[in-house]
Amino acid sequence: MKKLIVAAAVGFLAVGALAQGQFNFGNRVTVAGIDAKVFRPDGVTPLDGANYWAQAYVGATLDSLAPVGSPVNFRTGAAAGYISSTIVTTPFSGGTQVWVEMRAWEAGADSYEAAVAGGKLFGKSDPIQLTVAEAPNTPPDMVGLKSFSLVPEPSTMALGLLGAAALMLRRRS
Amino acid sequence: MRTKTLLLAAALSAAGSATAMAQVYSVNAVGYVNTALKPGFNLIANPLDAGADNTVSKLLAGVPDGTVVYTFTPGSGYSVNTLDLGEWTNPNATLVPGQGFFVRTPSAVTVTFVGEVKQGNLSTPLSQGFNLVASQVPQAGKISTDLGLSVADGDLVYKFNADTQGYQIFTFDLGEWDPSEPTLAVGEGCWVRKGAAGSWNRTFSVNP
Repeated sequence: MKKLIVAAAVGFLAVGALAQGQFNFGNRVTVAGIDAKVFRPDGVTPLDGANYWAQAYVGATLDSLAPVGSPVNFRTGAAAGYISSTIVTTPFSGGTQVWVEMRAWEAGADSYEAAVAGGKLFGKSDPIQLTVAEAPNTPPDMVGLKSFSLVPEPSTMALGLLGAAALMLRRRS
Repeated sequence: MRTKTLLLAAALSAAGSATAMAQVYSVNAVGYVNTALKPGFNLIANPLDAGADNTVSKLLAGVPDGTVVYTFTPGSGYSVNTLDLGEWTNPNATLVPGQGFFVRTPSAVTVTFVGEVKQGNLSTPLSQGFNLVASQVPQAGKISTDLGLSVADGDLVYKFNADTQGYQIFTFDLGEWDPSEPTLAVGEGCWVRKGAAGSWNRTFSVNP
Protein backbone atom coordinates (compact mmCIF):
# COMPACT_ATOMS: atom_id res chain seq x y z
CA MET A 1 0.00 0.00 0.00
CA LYS A 2 2.79 2.39 0.99
CA LYS A 3 4.58 1.61 -2.23
CA LEU A 4 1.44 2.43 -4.19
CA ILE A 5 1.05 5.75 -2.45
CA VAL A 6 4.70 6.63 -3.09
CA ALA A 7 4.38 5.57 -6.72
CA ALA A 8 1.24 7.67 -7.11
CA ALA A 9 2.96 10.66 -5.50
CA VAL A 10 5.98 10.32 -7.78
CA GLY A 11 3.67 10.04 -10.80
CA PHE A 12 1.82 13.17 -9.74
CA LEU A 13 5.06 15.08 -9.30
CA ALA A 14 6.28 13.97 -12.70
CA VAL A 15 3.09 15.18 -14.37
CA GLY A 16 3.24 18.40 -12.38
CA ALA A 17 6.82 18.99 -13.42
CA LEU A 18 5.84 18.68 -17.06
CA ALA A 19 2.86 20.98 -16.81
CA GLN A 20 4.67 24.31 -16.83
CA GLY A 21 3.67 27.42 -18.67
CA GLN A 22 5.77 28.65 -21.57
CA PHE A 23 6.19 31.83 -23.58
CA ASN A 24 8.08 32.94 -26.65
CA PHE A 25 11.23 34.79 -25.58
CA GLY A 26 11.95 36.86 -28.67
CA ASN A 27 12.41 40.52 -29.51
CA ARG A 28 11.59 40.20 -33.21
CA VAL A 29 8.24 38.54 -33.89
CA THR A 30 6.91 40.64 -36.72
CA VAL A 31 3.58 38.78 -37.00
CA ALA A 32 2.91 39.92 -33.43
CA GLY A 33 4.18 43.45 -34.02
CA ILE A 34 7.29 42.96 -31.89
CA ASP A 35 10.45 44.67 -33.12
CA ALA A 36 12.59 45.63 -30.14
CA LYS A 37 16.30 45.82 -30.92
CA VAL A 38 18.82 46.00 -28.11
CA PHE A 39 21.66 48.51 -28.47
CA ARG A 40 25.00 49.41 -26.99
CA PRO A 41 25.03 52.52 -24.74
CA ASP A 42 25.25 54.75 -27.82
CA GLY A 43 21.68 53.76 -28.66
CA VAL A 44 22.69 53.13 -32.25
CA THR A 45 24.93 50.07 -32.40
CA PRO A 46 22.93 46.84 -32.07
CA LEU A 47 24.30 44.05 -29.90
CA ASP A 48 25.69 41.24 -31.97
CA GLY A 49 26.98 37.72 -31.77
CA ALA A 50 28.78 36.15 -28.87
CA ASN A 51 29.80 39.52 -27.44
CA TYR A 52 26.49 39.82 -25.58
CA TRP A 53 23.99 37.65 -23.78
CA ALA A 54 20.28 37.93 -23.14
CA GLN A 55 18.04 36.07 -20.73
CA ALA A 56 14.39 36.16 -19.69
CA TYR A 57 13.51 37.13 -16.13
CA VAL A 58 10.09 36.07 -14.88
CA GLY A 59 8.14 36.48 -11.67
CA ALA A 60 4.67 36.69 -10.20
CA THR A 61 5.54 40.20 -9.02
CA LEU A 62 8.00 42.83 -10.17
CA ASP A 63 10.20 42.30 -7.13
CA SER A 64 10.41 38.55 -7.57
CA LEU A 65 11.83 38.36 -11.08
CA ALA A 66 14.25 35.47 -11.54
CA PRO A 67 16.12 34.12 -14.57
CA VAL A 68 14.48 31.33 -16.58
CA GLY A 69 15.85 29.31 -19.46
CA SER A 70 19.43 29.66 -20.65
CA PRO A 71 21.19 32.84 -21.73
CA VAL A 72 21.27 33.28 -25.50
CA ASN A 73 23.60 35.24 -27.74
CA PHE A 74 22.48 37.85 -30.22
CA ARG A 75 22.14 37.36 -33.94
CA THR A 76 24.56 38.99 -36.37
CA GLY A 77 24.59 41.04 -39.58
CA ALA A 78 21.21 42.46 -40.53
CA ALA A 79 19.71 40.61 -37.57
CA ALA A 80 22.04 42.16 -34.98
CA GLY A 81 20.16 43.51 -32.01
CA TYR A 82 17.80 40.55 -32.04
CA ILE A 83 17.98 37.17 -30.39
CA SER A 84 16.81 33.91 -31.90
CA SER A 85 13.30 33.43 -30.57
CA THR A 86 13.19 30.57 -28.12
CA ILE A 87 10.40 29.00 -26.12
CA VAL A 88 11.07 29.41 -22.41
CA THR A 89 9.57 27.18 -19.75
CA THR A 90 8.65 28.92 -16.51
CA PRO A 91 7.99 27.51 -13.05
CA PHE A 92 4.39 28.74 -13.35
CA SER A 93 1.48 26.66 -14.53
CA GLY A 94 -0.29 27.53 -17.77
CA GLY A 95 -2.79 30.34 -17.45
CA THR A 96 -0.73 32.23 -14.85
CA GLN A 97 -0.18 35.93 -15.47
CA VAL A 98 3.46 36.85 -14.90
CA TRP A 99 5.84 39.76 -15.27
CA VAL A 100 8.64 39.35 -17.79
CA GLU A 101 11.79 41.32 -18.54
CA MET A 102 14.47 40.83 -21.13
CA ARG A 103 17.89 41.45 -19.64
CA ALA A 104 21.12 41.70 -21.59
CA TRP A 105 24.75 42.03 -20.70
CA GLU A 106 28.25 42.09 -22.10
CA ALA A 107 30.07 38.75 -22.45
CA GLY A 108 32.70 37.94 -19.89
CA ALA A 109 30.15 37.64 -17.11
CA ASP A 110 28.16 34.48 -16.45
CA SER A 111 24.96 36.27 -15.58
CA TYR A 112 23.24 39.63 -15.55
CA GLU A 113 24.02 40.03 -11.85
CA ALA A 114 27.67 39.16 -12.44
CA ALA A 115 27.83 41.76 -15.21
CA VAL A 116 26.39 44.44 -12.92
CA ALA A 117 28.83 43.53 -10.17
CA GLY A 118 31.77 43.08 -12.51
CA GLY A 119 31.72 46.38 -14.33
CA LYS A 120 30.34 45.05 -17.63
CA LEU A 121 27.71 46.68 -19.80
CA PHE A 122 24.20 45.66 -18.83
CA GLY A 123 20.58 46.64 -19.40
CA LYS A 124 17.00 45.50 -19.22
CA SER A 125 13.69 46.11 -20.91
CA ASP A 126 10.64 47.63 -19.34
CA PRO A 127 8.67 44.83 -17.72
CA ILE A 128 5.65 43.46 -19.52
CA GLN A 129 2.84 41.19 -18.41
CA LEU A 130 1.77 38.04 -20.19
CA THR A 131 -0.08 34.83 -19.45
CA VAL A 132 2.06 31.72 -19.85
CA ALA A 133 0.52 28.79 -21.71
CA GLU A 134 0.57 25.01 -21.72
CA ALA A 135 -0.38 22.64 -24.54
CA PRO A 136 -2.55 22.53 -26.43
CA ASN A 137 -2.35 26.32 -26.29
CA THR A 138 0.51 28.06 -28.00
CA PRO A 139 3.06 30.07 -26.01
CA PRO A 140 2.37 33.83 -26.04
CA ASP A 141 4.75 36.43 -27.44
CA MET A 142 6.28 39.29 -25.47
CA VAL A 143 3.80 41.79 -26.86
CA GLY A 144 4.66 45.30 -25.70
CA LEU A 145 8.39 44.68 -25.49
CA LYS A 146 10.36 47.84 -26.32
CA SER A 147 13.91 48.49 -27.45
CA PHE A 148 16.47 49.36 -24.83
CA SER A 149 20.16 50.14 -24.57
CA LEU A 150 22.84 48.82 -22.28
CA VAL A 151 24.27 51.24 -19.78
CA PRO A 152 27.90 51.85 -18.96
CA GLU A 153 29.49 49.85 -16.21
CA PRO A 154 28.98 51.24 -12.68
CA SER A 155 32.51 52.54 -12.35
CA THR A 156 32.10 54.73 -15.43
CA MET A 157 28.68 55.85 -14.23
CA ALA A 158 30.06 56.65 -10.85
CA LEU A 159 32.85 58.66 -12.41
CA GLY A 160 30.35 60.54 -14.54
CA LEU A 161 28.16 61.38 -11.56
CA LEU A 162 31.18 62.44 -9.57
CA GLY A 163 32.28 64.72 -12.38
CA ALA A 164 28.82 66.22 -12.72
CA ALA A 165 28.61 66.83 -9.00
CA ALA A 166 32.02 68.49 -9.03
CA LEU A 167 30.92 70.78 -11.87
CA MET A 168 27.78 71.78 -10.02
CA LEU A 169 29.72 72.55 -6.87
CA ARG A 170 32.19 74.62 -8.85
CA ARG A 171 29.40 76.68 -10.46
CA ARG A 172 27.79 77.38 -7.10
CA SER A 173 31.01 78.56 -5.48
CA MET B 1 7.78 9.54 -32.82
CA ARG B 2 8.56 6.02 -33.92
CA THR B 3 7.28 5.30 -37.33
CA LYS B 4 7.40 2.23 -39.40
CA THR B 5 6.76 3.02 -42.96
CA LEU B 6 6.15 0.73 -45.80
CA LEU B 7 5.31 3.61 -48.01
CA LEU B 8 6.56 4.18 -51.48
CA ALA B 9 9.08 1.38 -51.31
CA ALA B 10 6.73 -1.41 -50.43
CA ALA B 11 3.10 -2.26 -50.75
CA LEU B 12 2.76 -0.55 -54.04
CA SER B 13 -0.43 -1.72 -55.59
CA ALA B 14 -1.08 -1.07 -59.18
CA ALA B 15 -4.70 -0.20 -58.88
CA GLY B 16 -4.70 2.05 -61.79
CA SER B 17 -6.10 1.88 -65.17
CA ALA B 18 -3.80 1.06 -67.98
CA THR B 19 -5.00 1.32 -71.48
CA ALA B 20 -3.06 -0.06 -74.35
CA MET B 21 -3.97 2.93 -76.46
CA ALA B 22 -2.77 5.77 -74.32
CA GLN B 23 -0.23 3.90 -72.24
CA VAL B 24 -1.37 5.96 -69.30
CA TYR B 25 -1.43 4.30 -65.95
CA SER B 26 -1.39 5.33 -62.37
CA VAL B 27 0.00 3.70 -59.31
CA ASN B 28 -1.59 3.91 -55.93
CA ALA B 29 0.69 3.48 -52.95
CA VAL B 30 -0.89 2.01 -49.88
CA GLY B 31 0.72 1.23 -46.60
CA TYR B 32 0.67 1.84 -42.92
CA VAL B 33 2.39 4.05 -40.39
CA ASN B 34 2.77 3.26 -36.71
CA THR B 35 2.72 6.34 -34.51
CA ALA B 36 3.71 5.94 -30.88
CA LEU B 37 1.80 8.22 -28.52
CA LYS B 38 3.19 9.20 -25.15
CA PRO B 39 1.16 9.97 -22.04
CA GLY B 40 -0.01 13.58 -22.20
CA PHE B 41 -0.21 15.70 -25.33
CA ASN B 42 1.06 14.52 -28.72
CA LEU B 43 0.95 16.68 -31.86
CA ILE B 44 0.41 14.32 -34.77
CA ALA B 45 -1.32 13.94 -38.12
CA ASN B 46 -2.98 11.26 -40.18
CA PRO B 47 -0.30 10.55 -42.80
CA LEU B 48 -2.42 8.36 -45.11
CA ASP B 49 -5.76 8.79 -46.81
CA ALA B 50 -8.24 6.19 -45.60
CA GLY B 51 -11.12 7.70 -47.56
CA ALA B 52 -14.40 7.26 -45.74
CA ASP B 53 -12.50 5.84 -42.78
CA ASN B 54 -10.69 9.12 -42.04
CA THR B 55 -12.72 9.40 -38.87
CA VAL B 56 -11.67 9.64 -35.25
CA SER B 57 -13.34 6.37 -34.31
CA LYS B 58 -11.75 4.42 -37.16
CA LEU B 59 -8.30 5.99 -37.13
CA LEU B 60 -7.84 5.98 -33.38
CA ALA B 61 -9.40 2.62 -32.61
CA GLY B 62 -7.56 1.09 -29.71
CA VAL B 63 -6.60 4.23 -27.81
CA PRO B 64 -7.42 4.08 -24.09
CA ASP B 65 -10.54 5.50 -22.53
CA GLY B 66 -10.01 9.10 -21.53
CA THR B 67 -8.15 9.97 -24.73
CA VAL B 68 -8.96 13.45 -26.03
CA VAL B 69 -8.48 14.74 -29.58
CA TYR B 70 -8.09 18.48 -30.15
CA THR B 71 -8.60 19.80 -33.66
CA PHE B 72 -8.17 23.46 -34.48
CA THR B 73 -10.00 25.71 -36.89
CA PRO B 74 -8.57 29.18 -37.47
CA GLY B 75 -11.03 31.78 -36.36
CA SER B 76 -13.05 29.47 -34.15
CA GLY B 77 -10.43 27.62 -32.10
CA TYR B 78 -10.41 24.09 -30.74
CA SER B 79 -12.95 21.31 -31.05
CA VAL B 80 -12.58 18.64 -28.39
CA ASN B 81 -13.47 15.00 -28.92
CA THR B 82 -13.28 12.66 -25.93
CA LEU B 83 -13.34 8.88 -25.75
CA ASP B 84 -15.36 8.12 -22.64
CA LEU B 85 -16.72 4.70 -21.72
CA GLY B 86 -15.82 3.50 -25.19
CA GLU B 87 -17.66 6.25 -27.04
CA TRP B 88 -16.33 9.29 -28.82
CA THR B 89 -18.12 12.60 -28.42
CA ASN B 90 -18.15 12.86 -32.20
CA PRO B 91 -17.06 9.54 -33.72
CA ASN B 92 -17.45 10.79 -37.28
CA ALA B 93 -15.22 13.82 -36.91
CA THR B 94 -12.66 13.61 -39.69
CA LEU B 95 -8.87 13.68 -39.48
CA VAL B 96 -7.47 14.07 -42.97
CA PRO B 97 -3.89 14.20 -44.26
CA GLY B 98 -2.50 17.72 -43.94
CA GLN B 99 -4.42 18.39 -40.73
CA GLY B 100 -2.44 18.49 -37.49
CA PHE B 101 -4.15 17.62 -34.23
CA PHE B 102 -3.36 17.01 -30.60
CA VAL B 103 -4.05 13.66 -28.97
CA ARG B 104 -3.97 13.65 -25.20
CA THR B 105 -3.76 10.11 -23.95
CA PRO B 106 -3.62 8.87 -20.35
CA SER B 107 -1.10 6.14 -21.21
CA ALA B 108 1.34 5.24 -23.95
CA VAL B 109 -0.22 3.62 -27.00
CA THR B 110 0.69 3.02 -30.62
CA VAL B 111 -1.75 4.02 -33.33
CA THR B 112 -1.56 2.43 -36.78
CA PHE B 113 -2.71 4.52 -39.71
CA VAL B 114 -3.59 2.60 -42.88
CA GLY B 115 -4.39 4.10 -46.25
CA GLU B 116 -3.14 5.57 -49.49
CA VAL B 117 -0.37 8.04 -50.09
CA LYS B 118 -1.85 11.33 -51.25
CA GLN B 119 -0.80 12.23 -54.77
CA GLY B 120 -1.39 14.92 -57.33
CA ASN B 121 -1.75 18.62 -56.68
CA LEU B 122 -2.08 18.81 -52.93
CA SER B 123 -3.10 21.98 -51.15
CA THR B 124 -3.69 22.82 -47.52
CA PRO B 125 -5.18 26.27 -46.90
CA LEU B 126 -3.34 28.48 -44.42
CA SER B 127 -5.04 31.37 -42.68
CA GLN B 128 -3.34 34.45 -41.35
CA GLY B 129 -2.29 33.53 -37.83
CA PHE B 130 -2.13 30.03 -36.38
CA ASN B 131 -2.74 26.89 -38.43
CA LEU B 132 -2.49 23.34 -37.06
CA VAL B 133 -1.21 21.41 -40.05
CA ALA B 134 1.07 18.67 -41.39
CA SER B 135 2.54 17.48 -44.65
CA GLN B 136 -0.09 15.73 -46.76
CA VAL B 137 2.63 13.45 -48.09
CA PRO B 138 3.91 10.85 -45.60
CA GLN B 139 7.50 11.93 -45.85
CA ALA B 140 10.05 13.10 -43.31
CA GLY B 141 12.18 16.11 -44.08
CA LYS B 142 12.80 19.82 -43.91
CA ILE B 143 9.51 21.64 -43.92
CA SER B 144 10.24 23.94 -46.87
CA THR B 145 13.13 22.32 -48.71
CA ASP B 146 11.69 18.81 -48.72
CA LEU B 147 8.01 19.14 -47.88
CA GLY B 148 7.20 22.23 -49.90
CA LEU B 149 5.91 24.75 -47.39
CA SER B 150 6.26 28.27 -48.80
CA VAL B 151 7.11 30.84 -46.19
CA ALA B 152 7.44 34.59 -46.03
CA ASP B 153 9.49 36.76 -43.73
CA GLY B 154 8.09 36.65 -40.23
CA ASP B 155 6.35 33.28 -40.55
CA LEU B 156 6.84 30.88 -37.66
CA VAL B 157 6.70 27.14 -37.09
CA TYR B 158 6.04 25.64 -33.65
CA LYS B 159 6.92 22.01 -33.02
CA PHE B 160 5.70 20.14 -29.97
CA ASN B 161 7.83 17.70 -27.98
CA ALA B 162 5.75 15.02 -26.26
CA ASP B 163 8.67 14.13 -23.97
CA THR B 164 8.96 17.60 -22.47
CA GLN B 165 5.34 18.60 -23.20
CA GLY B 166 6.76 21.86 -24.53
CA TYR B 167 7.25 23.76 -27.75
CA GLN B 168 10.20 24.66 -29.97
CA ILE B 169 9.95 27.68 -32.24
CA PHE B 170 11.46 28.35 -35.67
CA THR B 171 11.30 31.74 -37.36
CA PHE B 172 11.71 32.54 -41.04
CA ASP B 173 13.24 35.97 -40.74
CA LEU B 174 15.29 38.19 -43.02
CA GLY B 175 15.29 35.50 -45.69
CA GLU B 176 16.44 32.55 -43.63
CA TRP B 177 15.32 30.12 -40.97
CA ASP B 178 16.35 30.95 -37.45
CA PRO B 179 17.82 29.02 -35.69
CA SER B 180 17.46 26.36 -38.42
CA GLU B 181 14.89 24.99 -40.83
CA PRO B 182 12.51 22.74 -38.89
CA THR B 183 12.10 19.12 -39.88
CA LEU B 184 8.96 17.04 -39.57
CA ALA B 185 8.71 13.30 -39.09
CA VAL B 186 6.11 11.19 -40.89
CA GLY B 187 2.77 11.84 -39.24
CA GLU B 188 4.01 14.78 -37.18
CA GLY B 189 1.83 17.86 -36.89
CA CYS B 190 2.96 21.42 -36.23
CA TRP B 191 1.71 24.96 -35.95
CA VAL B 192 2.39 27.20 -38.93
CA ARG B 193 1.83 30.84 -38.06
CA LYS B 194 1.45 33.03 -41.10
CA GLY B 195 1.63 36.78 -41.45
CA ALA B 196 -0.68 36.53 -44.45
CA ALA B 197 -3.07 33.86 -45.66
CA GLY B 198 -1.81 31.38 -48.23
CA SER B 199 -1.65 27.66 -48.76
CA TRP B 200 0.75 24.76 -48.45
CA ASN B 201 0.93 23.45 -52.01
CA ARG B 202 2.77 20.48 -53.32
CA THR B 203 2.60 18.32 -56.40
CA PHE B 204 3.53 14.76 -55.57
CA SER B 205 3.55 11.43 -57.34
CA VAL B 206 4.94 8.03 -56.46
CA ASN B 207 5.42 7.29 -60.15
CA PRO B 208 9.03 7.27 -61.20
